[in-house]
Amino acid sequence: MTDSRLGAASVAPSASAPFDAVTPPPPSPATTAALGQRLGAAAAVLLAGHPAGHVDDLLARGNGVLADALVRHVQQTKVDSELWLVLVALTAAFPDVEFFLGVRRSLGVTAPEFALSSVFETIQQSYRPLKCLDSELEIVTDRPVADVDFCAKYDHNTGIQRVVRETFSRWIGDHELELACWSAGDNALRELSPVERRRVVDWDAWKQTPPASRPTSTPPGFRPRLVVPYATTVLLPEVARDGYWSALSSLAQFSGNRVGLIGYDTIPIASADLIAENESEKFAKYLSIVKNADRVAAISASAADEFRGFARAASAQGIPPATVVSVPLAVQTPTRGTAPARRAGQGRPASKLVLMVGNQEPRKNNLAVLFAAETLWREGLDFRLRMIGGGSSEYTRFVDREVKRLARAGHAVELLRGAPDSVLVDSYAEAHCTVFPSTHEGFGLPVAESLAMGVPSITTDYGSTLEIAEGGGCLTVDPRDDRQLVAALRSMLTEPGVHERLVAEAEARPPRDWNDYAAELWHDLVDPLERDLR
Amino acid sequence: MAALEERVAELEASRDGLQAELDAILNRATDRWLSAANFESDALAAMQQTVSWRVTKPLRVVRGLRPGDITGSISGRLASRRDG
Amino acid sequence: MLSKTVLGRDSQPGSVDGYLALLAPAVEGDTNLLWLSHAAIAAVFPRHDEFERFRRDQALNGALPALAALVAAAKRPFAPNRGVGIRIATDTIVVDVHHTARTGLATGIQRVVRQTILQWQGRAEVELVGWDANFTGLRHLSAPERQNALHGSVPRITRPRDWVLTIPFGTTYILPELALERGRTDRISCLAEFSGNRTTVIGFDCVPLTSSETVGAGMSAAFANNLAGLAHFDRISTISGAAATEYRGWRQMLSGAGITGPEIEPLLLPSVAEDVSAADFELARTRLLTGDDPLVVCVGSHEPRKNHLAVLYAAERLWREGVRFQLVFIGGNGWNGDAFRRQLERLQGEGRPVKAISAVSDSLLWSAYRLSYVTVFPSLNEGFGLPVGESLSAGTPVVTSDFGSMKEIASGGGAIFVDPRDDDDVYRGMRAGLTDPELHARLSAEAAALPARGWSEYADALWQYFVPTSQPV
Repeated sequence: MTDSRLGAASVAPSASAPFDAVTPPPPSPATTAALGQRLGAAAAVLLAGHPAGHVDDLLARGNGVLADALVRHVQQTKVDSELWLVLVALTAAFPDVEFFLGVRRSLGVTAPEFALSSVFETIQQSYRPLKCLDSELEIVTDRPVADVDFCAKYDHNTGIQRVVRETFSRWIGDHELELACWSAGDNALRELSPVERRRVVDWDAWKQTPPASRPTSTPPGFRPRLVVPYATTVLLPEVARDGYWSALSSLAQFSGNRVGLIGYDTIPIASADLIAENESEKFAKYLSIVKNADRVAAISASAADEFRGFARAASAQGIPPATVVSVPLAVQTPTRGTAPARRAGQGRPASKLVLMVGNQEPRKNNLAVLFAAETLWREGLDFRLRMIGGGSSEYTRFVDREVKRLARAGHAVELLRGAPDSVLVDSYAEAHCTVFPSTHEGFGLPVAESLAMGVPSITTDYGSTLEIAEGGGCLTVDPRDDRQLVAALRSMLTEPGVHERLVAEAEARPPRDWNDYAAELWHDLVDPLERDLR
Repeated sequence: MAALEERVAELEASRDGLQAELDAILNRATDRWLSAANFESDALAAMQQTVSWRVTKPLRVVRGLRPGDITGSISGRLASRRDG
Repeated sequence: MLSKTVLGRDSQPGSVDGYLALLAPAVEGDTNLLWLSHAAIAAVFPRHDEFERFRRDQALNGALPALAALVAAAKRPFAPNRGVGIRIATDTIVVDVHHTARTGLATGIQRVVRQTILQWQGRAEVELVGWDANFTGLRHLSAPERQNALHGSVPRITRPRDWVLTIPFGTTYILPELALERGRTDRISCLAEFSGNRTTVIGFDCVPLTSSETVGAGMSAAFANNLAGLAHFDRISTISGAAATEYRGWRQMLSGAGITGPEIEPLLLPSVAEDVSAADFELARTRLLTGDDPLVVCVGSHEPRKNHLAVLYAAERLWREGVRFQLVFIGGNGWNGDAFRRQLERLQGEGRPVKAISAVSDSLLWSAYRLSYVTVFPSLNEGFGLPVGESLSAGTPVVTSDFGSMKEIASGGGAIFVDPRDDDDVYRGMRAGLTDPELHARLSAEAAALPARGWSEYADALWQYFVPTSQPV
C-alpha cells in the first residue's frame, strides 16, 4: 500500500542486506530555498546585533552554515523564545512541548560544534511528520496574530463562529491584524487564502453566494506562507481543536508571545455529568493552553468566574494565573430574511404561546419545562408550548416520549427540529413569554434574544442568565426546583400586570450590538496585551 | 617583507580552505537531514494510511492507558511495587 | 423495612398495597424519603434522571400511584436486583472502599485508604461497603473482601452471589478512594444531592484536570465525571493544601452551574518511615550500589509529569563536570515514558552510573531512602509528593519543587527547592546537595529533627472532620 507514496525514493538492492535499503532522494531546490528563506528570516531577527551583511554572508555559504550559526546563538543565549523561533524556522512547524524541552536539554549538554547535529537528531526522534518543509515564512512582530482556523475552513456558523465572524469582520477594518489558520499536517499557522479570509471577515456576503458557484477554499497553486508570531500578541478566539493543543501550549510557554483568548464556558468540566465524555476529554486538553495563557476575556461574569476558578486550581503548580476579565456578548435579534417580523397580528390563535428555544439536552432542562406545563394544563390553564431546537442525545428520546404522551393527552405541545430562522422569528413575534431554565450557560443567548425581541422570559436565578435577567424583563427561578418554575409560569400566564411590567422592562433594555462587543473586546483583551509588549 | 606577506596569504588560503570544508560538512548534514525529514514525513503518512495502522489504533490507545494513570498523582509508582 | 424507617414502626398491614397506602402520605413531597423509597422499592440506587422522573410523577399524580409504578417496575421478570433484599443503615457510618476491597494494586491511594480504615477498626459504627457487579448500589463486604480492603492480601475475589443492598439513610457516607466507574459516580451523585445523608470524600488531586497534558487518553473525562459526582457532597478532606487549592478552584468553576459545592479543608498526609531488617538492608545495598560514589535516588513512575528527563539532564551536566555520584530511578513505567528510556540507554551506553529499577519491595524502597546521600523529586504537579515525605522521614535531604504539596511537606526543613521547569535550576539544586557538605549536614539535621506524625493522628483528624459529632475513641 505504501509503494505509490514511496515511489520517489530510490531503492538500492543490496546483496548483503536482508532488506532493500532505501535512500531518500535529495531535497528539491524549492525545499532547500524555502529552508534558506526561513533561516534568513529568523536570522534577521536573532542576529540583528551583528554588522550589516553578516546574515547574507552566512546564507551565501549555505543553509547549514546559517543553521549552525543560529543554533550556536541560542545555545549561548539560552533564551526560550529564540530557541522556539529557530526550531520553527528549521522544521517549518511549531514545536510541541516535549520536543522543545528535548532540544533545550540536548543543547545544554552538547559541545557547540555538535549542537546542530544534536538538534537534527532530536527532530528525527520526535517522529512528527513535517509537511511544510517547502513553505516560506513571515515573522510577524508588529501586530496581533489571530488563529481563526475553524471559521476560515468551514461554513458552519453557530455560537462560537458567530462571535468570531462578527468580531473580526469589525476588527479587520479598524486594526492592524494578521489572520491565520493551521497549515498542512497541523504543523504551524499559515496565512489564509482569499476565500478563507472572506469566510471569516465577510461572512454575510459569502453565505449569499450559492454553494455551487463558490470558489474552492485553496486554489491550485496556493502556496501559503507560514505565519510566525514573535514578541507579539497571539489571539485564540476559538476553542482550539484537539491536535493543536500541544503546539499552542508550547507557544504560550516558550515563544515569548502574549496569548489572549476568549473564554466561553467550562461546562464540559463543571457540568461533566451532563456532557458526552469525549467533550470533557477534549476540553481538558484545551485547558492546557488556558493554563499558560496571559489573558482571558470571558463572555459573561459567570464564565469569568469559572475561568478564574481553573486558573486558581492551576496555581497549585506554581503557574502564575491568567488575568480574567468579562466582556459580555452582544445580543442580535434573528431576522426572518425577506418579510419583516410582526409582534402582534390578526389571526393569532386565542391561547398564549410559551416558547422554549435551545437544544434538547439535560443541561437545558426540557423535562422540567414539560413538567411545569403539564402541571398548569392540569390546573386548567390554556396555553400552547413550542420547543425549537435540535437534539441528538439519549435525553432527546425522553423529551420526545414526553411530548408524544402530552400531545396524546390533548395538550397543545409541539417540538420543532431544524426549523428555519423565519419560524424562529415568527415564534418570538407570537410568544407570550419564553422559558429557559438551563442549569449551566456561558451566556444564555436565547434569553438575551427573547428580551431583545421584547418577549419576557423565565430563566435561571444564577450565573450568566441571571446577569442578563438583571437588566429587566425576566422572572428567575432555581432550575432544580420544579415548584418555582411552575409558579413563575403560572404567574406569567395568569397575572396580566406581571406580564405587562416585564414586557415594558424588556422593551426598555438598552441594545448591545456587535460593534459594542468588538470594541470592548479589543479594549479589554488586546490593548492590555499589546501594552505589556510595547 | 614579501616573504611574510606571502606566508600570510598562504595561511589565509589554507584557513579559507578549511573553512570551506567545514561549511561543506554543515551544509551536507543539513541537506541530509532535510531529505530524510521530507522522506520520513511521506513515509509516515503512507504508513498511517495502511490497514494495519488503522486496525491497531484501539490497541495503541489502550496501551496509552494503564491502571497507574487512573489513580491520580500519588499512585503510579507504587503500583509498580507490586506489579513490576 | 422501609415502613419501619419512614414511619418508625412496622404496623404489618399484610400486603404491598397496604404498605403503600401507609407510606404514600408519609413520603409525599419529602425529597429525602422519596430517594429512600425509590432505592428501597427498586432495590437500586436511583440515578439523577430516574429520581427526577419519579419525583415529578409523585408531584403530578400523587405519591401512591408513583410508588405503585415503582413496585410494578420492580416486579417485572427482568427487573434488575429483583431477588435482592435490602437493609437500611441508619446507625452505621458507611465507608465505601469498593475498589480497595477488590484490587491487587497497592498505589498511594490504596495505602491511604488501608492505613485509614485500619485505624478506624476500633470504631464499632464503621461499616465497610462496596458495590455490586453492575454498580446499582452498596452492599456489605464479604469477609475476604474486607480482608483485602484492610491488608491487600486477597485481591480479585469472586463476588458473593447473594447480597443485600445497603441503603444509608440519615447517616454519614464516607468515600475514601477515587471512584471513576460511571454507574457508581452517577448514583453517588444522586445520593449526595437527594438522600439527605452527610456525604464526605478524600480529595487526592486534580491532576487530570489541571495537568491534562500529562495523563493518558480518557483519563481527563473519567476524572471530570468523578468531580461531577462530588459537586453535591458536603465535605472534601484533601491530602494537602495544594490539593485543597485545586479542589477549591474546581468548586469555583461550579458557580456557573449554580452549585455551591462542598466544604474543602486540607489535612496533610503523614509520612511514616518503615523499618528494614539488617539482612534486607544488606541485600538492598548490593542491589542498588555500585562502588563508593554517593547515591542519588529518584522515586516515581516514568511519565512526563515526574520530570525525570530534567533529572537526567542535570545529572549529565554534573557528571560532565566531574561530580561523582550514582543515580538510581525507582518506579514503574508510567504513561509516555519512551523519551526517558531512550535518554537512559544513551547515558548507560556512555558509561554513566545510572540505572532504573521497577520491581521494588517496601524494604528495598526504604533501604534506598536510607542509602541515599540525597534524593531528587522535581515533579510538576503532585497532590501529595510522597517521595518527599518518605525521604525526609528517613532522614535524607531532598531536592524538590518550590511550590505545591512538595514545598508544603518540606516546609519544616531538609529540602533544597528548585524551579522544576528550569532544568538548570534542577542542576544547581542537585549540585548543591552533592557538593556542599555543610549544607548537606544542615539539611540532614533538619530532616532528622522533623516531628513524627503518624496514621493514627491522620485518621483521627479525618474522622473528626467527616463525623464531627463523634467522640474520639
